[in-house]
Amino acid sequence: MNEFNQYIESLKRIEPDAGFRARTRNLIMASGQRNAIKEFGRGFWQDIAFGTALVAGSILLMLVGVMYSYVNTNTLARKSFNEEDVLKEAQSLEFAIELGEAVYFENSADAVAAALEQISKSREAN
Amino acid sequence: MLEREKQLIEKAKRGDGECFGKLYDHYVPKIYRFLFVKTNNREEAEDLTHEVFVSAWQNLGRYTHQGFPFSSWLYQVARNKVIDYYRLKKNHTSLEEADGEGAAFAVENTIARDLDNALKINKIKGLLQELSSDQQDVILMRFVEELSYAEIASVMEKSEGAVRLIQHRAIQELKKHIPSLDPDHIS
Repeated sequence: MNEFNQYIESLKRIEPDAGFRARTRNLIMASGQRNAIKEFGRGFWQDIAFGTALVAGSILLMLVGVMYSYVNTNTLARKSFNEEDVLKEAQSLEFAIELGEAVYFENSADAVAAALEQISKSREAN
Repeated sequence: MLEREKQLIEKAKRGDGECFGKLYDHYVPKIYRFLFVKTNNREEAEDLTHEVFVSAWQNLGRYTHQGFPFSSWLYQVARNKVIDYYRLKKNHTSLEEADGEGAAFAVENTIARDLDNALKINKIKGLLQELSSDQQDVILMRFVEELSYAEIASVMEKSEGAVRLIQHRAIQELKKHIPSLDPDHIS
């Protein structure tokens, strides 16, 4: 037998330990086999659960969005009916009217005075 | 090929553990031997052998008989495990490797009980390390496990021609270290 064949024969004599063989055999038998139908079922229910979670998440997000916009709109509306703001606005309006009246009176005072003087002069002449 | 192998596989596919046990008993030495030479380490070879058979047991439903022995499929699983093993090992250099070549080729007493056999195993394992992974696989499957070229081609997902070429190159490489190696007189 040539040298290479002797080496190959030596490799053929390699054997796993008997204890290892028995231990692994028992472990494999105890692990059970993957059942294709069960696997499919598990996958199916996992998909269903995932889909439900996705829908629930979307609904929750929509609810949060709706609630946020509702609260936001309400705040704006409340702001527009704020009593203090309305009073301030009314007061500033009145002030603007008073100022307008003052300007009018200032402009018309001279003309009114001249007319009154003319009326009194004509009464004296009569 | 194991007697009544097809029936055993069919029964094992339906969950018959005893039938798978018979397949395990028949093929575990071959797969272990292959993995032992590929990893150079008894414990790693045992772990990988365990993983190969757990994987085979759990995925037996996917196995379809294509005219080759069940071992072809097992070798395929084993080769993938070796690829994963070396991919992970790149980042985890063991103490055994760090100790140097002598320690890397240490052969446990449980495997090689006599010194002469141990020396031969050490020598051939050292020589096989000079070959590429594919060349090692072809030499092991062709000469140690005596698989046909068609079976090896099926395991390696290559053509028979490619397998013969790999074998030729492997023998040329081995001849550099074993000048007496005569390709026509390999048993």
